[in-house]
Amino acid sequence: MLIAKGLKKNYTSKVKTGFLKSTTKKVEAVRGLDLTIEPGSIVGLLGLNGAGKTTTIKMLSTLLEPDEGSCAIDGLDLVKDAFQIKHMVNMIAGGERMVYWRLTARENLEYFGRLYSIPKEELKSRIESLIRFVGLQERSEEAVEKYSKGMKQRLQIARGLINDPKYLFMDEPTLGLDAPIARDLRRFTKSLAKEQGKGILLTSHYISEIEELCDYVYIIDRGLKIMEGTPKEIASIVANCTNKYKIKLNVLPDKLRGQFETFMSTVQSEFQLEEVDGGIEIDVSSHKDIQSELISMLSQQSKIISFTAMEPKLEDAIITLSEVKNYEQVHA
Amino acid sequence: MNRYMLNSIKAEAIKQHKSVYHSNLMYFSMLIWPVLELFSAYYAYKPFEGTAASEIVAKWVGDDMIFAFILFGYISFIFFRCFVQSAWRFSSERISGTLELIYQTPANRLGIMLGNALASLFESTWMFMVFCIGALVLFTNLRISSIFMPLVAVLSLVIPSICWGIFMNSLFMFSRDSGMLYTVFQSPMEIFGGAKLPYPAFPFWAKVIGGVFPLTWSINIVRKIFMNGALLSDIKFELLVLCAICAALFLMTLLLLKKSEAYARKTGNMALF
Repeated sequence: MLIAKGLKKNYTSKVKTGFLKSTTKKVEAVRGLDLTIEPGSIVGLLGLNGAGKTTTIKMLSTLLEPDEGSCAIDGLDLVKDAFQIKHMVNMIAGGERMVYWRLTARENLEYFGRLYSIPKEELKSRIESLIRFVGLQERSEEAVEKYSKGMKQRLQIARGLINDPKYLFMDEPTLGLDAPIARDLRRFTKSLAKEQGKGILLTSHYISEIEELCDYVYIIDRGLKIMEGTPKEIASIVANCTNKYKIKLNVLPDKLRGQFETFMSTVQSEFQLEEVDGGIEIDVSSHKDIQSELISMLSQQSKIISFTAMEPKLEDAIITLSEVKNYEQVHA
Repeated sequence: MNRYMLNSIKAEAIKQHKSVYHSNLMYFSMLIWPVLELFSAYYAYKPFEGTAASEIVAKWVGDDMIFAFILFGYISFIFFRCFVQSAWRFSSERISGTLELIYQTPANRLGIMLGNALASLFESTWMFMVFCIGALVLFTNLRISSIFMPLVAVLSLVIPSICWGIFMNSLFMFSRDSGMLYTVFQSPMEIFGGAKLPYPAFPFWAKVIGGVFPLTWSINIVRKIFMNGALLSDIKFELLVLCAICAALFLMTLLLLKKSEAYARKTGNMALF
C-alpha cells in the first residue's frame, strides 16, 4: 500500500523586477497532502491547473524530493529507499512527448527495459505482450514519428508498464485524445487495476473519467486537499455546487420579477436577465438545487417556454469548494 | 562494474546511435565536413606565406609538413567534437521529456553518460581511420616507429574524448541554459588546443588556457606518433598530463552528476526546457 502523509513541496522562482534585478518568490505547490493508494484500486487526483497534481505525482515517482512529510510504498521510504521504489513505480503522462520519435516502438521499449536491467529473455517476452496489450503489433517496427497521437499515447502506456510496476501514476493520460481512443485507454486502465492488481493514481480534468474509473477521489486546490470521497460522493457535491439553469419565459410581470429577485437573494444565487425575441431569458447560477422551486414560482404567473438544467462542471465545483475552504480559513 | 552500469551503457549507446546515425549518409557527411574545414584552415595560412608569422609556424612544423600538421590537428579536434556534440544532443532529452523518465529509472547515471559518449565512438573512429590511412598514402614523409603506436594514438584520443564528453554531459544536466557551455568551450578548444597552430608557439597565457583541454595533449601525441615517429618514451609527459586531466574530469563528472540530480529533485528543473 502507498501511504503519503503531510507531503509538502515548495518551489522558488525568480521574478524580474528590473533590468538586472530580480527577487525570489516561494510557491507552495503541495501543502501537506495525505494520500492512500491500495493495490488493485484506482485513486483519482482532481484539481484545476496549478493545483499540485503533477508535483504530487513527481514526488511519488521519486523525481522530486518532498520538503516535508513522508511516504511509504509497501513499507519502503520514498526518499531513503528511492532506488528500490524506482523498480516498483512508473509514470505515464499525456501528450506526445516522452518517447523517442526516431526509434520504433520496440526500440523504445527495449531502451527503457534495459534501464531497469530486466533480463534479456524476460524483456523480450514482456515487450511482445505489451505491444499486443496496447494494440501496436502491426506498427511496432515503424519509427514513432509516423504514429498518430493515439498510437504514441498507447506506446506511452506500454513504456509505463515495462518494469511491471506495482503502482502506476497517470498524469492526464487522455489529454487531447479523440473519444474512442480515450475510451480504449480507460479500458486499459481499468484492466490494469482490476485484472493485474496495480495501484493507480490518476489525474484528470474530466469528471466522467473519474466517475467511470476511480474507487476513491481526492480533490486538491493550490496544493491543499479540499475534499476526498468516493466518486458518488464527489458527484453529489459537484451537483450541489454548480447548478446552472437557462430559462425562457414569454413575459416577466413586475410582481413576479420582484418575487424572483427576493427568492434569488434568499438562496444566495446569481442571475442575469435578458430580453430576447418573444420573451425573457434568465441565466441562473446557484449552489443549491432550486429547480423545482423556480418552476413552481415562475409557472404561476408566466408561461415557461423552455427550462434547461445545465450539467454541472467539475471546474465549477472545485472553484466553489476552494472558495468555501478559503472562507472557512479566513473566518476560523 | 555492476549490471546496472553495463545495461545503462549498452541501452544509451544503442539508443543514441539509432537516434542520431539513422541514415548511412551520416557516415559520408562525416568525411566531407572535415575535408572542408581542413582546406579552409590550410588556405587561411596561404596569405601569410613568407611573413614572420609563417616563419614561426615553419620553425615548429617544417615547411613541407604544414598540411599534415593541420590534418592531424583537425581530425583530432573533430574526433573530440563528435563526443561533445553527442553530449550536447543529450540536452534535447529535456525537450522531449525523456530526461525525467531516465532519472525515474534505477539506471546508473554514469553509465548513461558513458553510453551517450560511446555512441559516437564508432563514427569518430571510422572518420579518424579513413583520414589516417589517407594521410599515410598521401604524405610519404610520415614516420611511424611501430605498428602499435597508431593504437596508442587512437586510445589517446578515445579515452580523453569520452572523459571530456561525459564531463560536458554532466554540466548539461544542471540546467537548460548550460547549452551555452558548448560555445564557451568549443572555440577556445579549437584555437588554444593547437588544432591549427603549434601549441609550443603560443604565448604563456594561451598555453595555460590550452593546457587545460585534454585535446591539446591528444593532438600533441597524435602528431608526434604520425609525424615524428615517436615511441612511448617520447610521449610519456603528454600521456601523464592526459591521464591527470582525464582523472580530474572523471571525478568532476561523478560529483556533478550527484549534485545535478539532487538539485533537480529539489527544484524540479529537469522538466524545464
